[in-house]
Amino acid sequence: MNTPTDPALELDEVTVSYGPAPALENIGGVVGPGEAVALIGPNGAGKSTLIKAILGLVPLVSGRITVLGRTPAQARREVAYVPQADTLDPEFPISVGQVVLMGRYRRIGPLRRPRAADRRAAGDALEQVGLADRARHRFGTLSGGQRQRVLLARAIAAEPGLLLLDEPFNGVDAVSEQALLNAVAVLKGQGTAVVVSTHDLALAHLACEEVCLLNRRQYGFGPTRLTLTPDRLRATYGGHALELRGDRVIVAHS
Amino acid sequence: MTAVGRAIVEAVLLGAVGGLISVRVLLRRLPFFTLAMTHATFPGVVLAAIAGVNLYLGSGVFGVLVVLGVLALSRRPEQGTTTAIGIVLSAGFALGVILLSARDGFAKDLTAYTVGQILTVGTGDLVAVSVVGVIVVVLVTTAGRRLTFRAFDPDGHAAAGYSPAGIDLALLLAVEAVIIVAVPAVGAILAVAVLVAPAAIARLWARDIPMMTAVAVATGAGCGLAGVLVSARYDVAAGGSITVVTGGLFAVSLAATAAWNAVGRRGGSRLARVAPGSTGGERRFRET
Ligand SMILES: Nc1ncnc2c1ncn2[C@@H]1O[C@H](COP(=O)(O)OP(=O)(O)O)[C@@H](O)[C@H]1O
Ligand SMILES: [Mg+2]
Repeated sequence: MNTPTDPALELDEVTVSYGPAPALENIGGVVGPGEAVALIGPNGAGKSTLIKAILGLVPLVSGRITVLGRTPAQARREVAYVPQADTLDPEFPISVGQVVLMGRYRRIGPLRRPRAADRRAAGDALEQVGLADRARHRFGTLSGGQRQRVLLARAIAAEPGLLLLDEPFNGVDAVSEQALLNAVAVLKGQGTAVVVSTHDLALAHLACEEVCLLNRRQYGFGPTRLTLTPDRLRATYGGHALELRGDRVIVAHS
Repeated sequence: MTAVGRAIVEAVLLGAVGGLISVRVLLRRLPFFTLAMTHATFPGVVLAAIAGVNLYLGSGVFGVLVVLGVLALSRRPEQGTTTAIGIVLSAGFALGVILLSARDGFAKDLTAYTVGQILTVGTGDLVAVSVVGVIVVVLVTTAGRRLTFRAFDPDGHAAAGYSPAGIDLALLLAVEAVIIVAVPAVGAILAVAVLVAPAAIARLWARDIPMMTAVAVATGAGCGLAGVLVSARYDVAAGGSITVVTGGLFAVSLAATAAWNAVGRRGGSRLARVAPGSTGGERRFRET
């Protein structure tokens, strides 16, 4: 069983491959309850793959992932996943409230109707991301940043022990970014561990205790300030002309 | 009951059942898949007729094979899928034609199995469509939330711990069952009208899935009724008239909602828009 002091996530020599060459090799690190780790690396580095491995959706070639003291498949009910909002069809006829309620489906079960507690959890979650007044709007009518917040609300409604966010800040306006950060901070305060993939170094500094530098293999995993060094970043983004301007990684593709 | 009476009951029941499942077909972006499944089912119907076994039993067994084939195909990379569906679609139809052409009364049978012969339906056909109707109602009421989740956010659905293969199989089997009971009424080939068009019409008018479902069921039943009445009045093939009525209603809805939205843009009230590619575009059936 998992006790509050046990790690929320343990990666032990994790190797994943889709074909002959591994997409991820020997990734290792530990994230405690209430802590956040930023996955940083160029496109195709394997960030989404690592998130899917933590969800138990892609098999490991070798190594082990432990989520809340269990295997990923066993822990799935306590793990919430936030996809990139722009991968979802904005024309889909579904309301904001219904999207958030999806976070409760596992608890509701197939045959019952949502209970008052489920509706309350969904309403509270929407409130936390600052969109309580939008419950009845169609999902696709919201801005990209607002849609991302709705998807975070869906994850909050699931009351997860581990939260996984795949590039949640891409193309998100400043207001929504702040709302996302606030909501994630509240979750961390409640003991939820967070894994977030991002290109934004400022955000990693701001919201994450740890970073994991990735580009198929691991270029560092540890406390943000010690790990997020220009040298390591250059190594991670190697092969691309890299410029560190302020807190952003600027990658010039050849 | 007279032949026309039975035809009306059959068309209304089938229209309602088709309308119900069509919402799931459209949300899951499976219209083209469904078209291929109707064409692939056609030789199964012919085989059942040639072998002299019960039409529903024979084409049902064949239909399960079609579903498994479709599931296997959809695991292949995206680019190949549309091509493969196109090939299955024409090959299935051609196979049915070849099998039929080896028989006497070829032209008459071909018409019956491709576009239906609703005036010849018997009580057994009404029972069959009712049974499939119950199955579809049970599926949509017990798994409706999951079907919606899977259609809206495949990755999120899998991440929540649901099995994509399970829900996909259930939906495809239900679609196949509706295709099979549609054969006596509208034929294997025109079945796609019953399985896609009502939801496409409802999508134009409705804002959410419950409303879309209600409109699609009413539309399917209404078009079935109107199609049979037109068929009886002008002595034309019912499969054709049901399909033409449905297609006409879609065109009228498209024009009416476009006009409504053009006016409503100033008033603020807008109906759902159809974005080309959002409901019509195919998505790979199984994402990994
Ligand atoms: N389903 C898949 N099948 C085969 N290869 C894949 C699949 N998903 C990702 N890849 C490959 O794995 C590598 C890592 O991809 P991904 O995890 O999406 O990277 P990131 O999220 O960091 O951009 C890429 O080379 C990508 O092409
Ligand atoms: Mg990615």
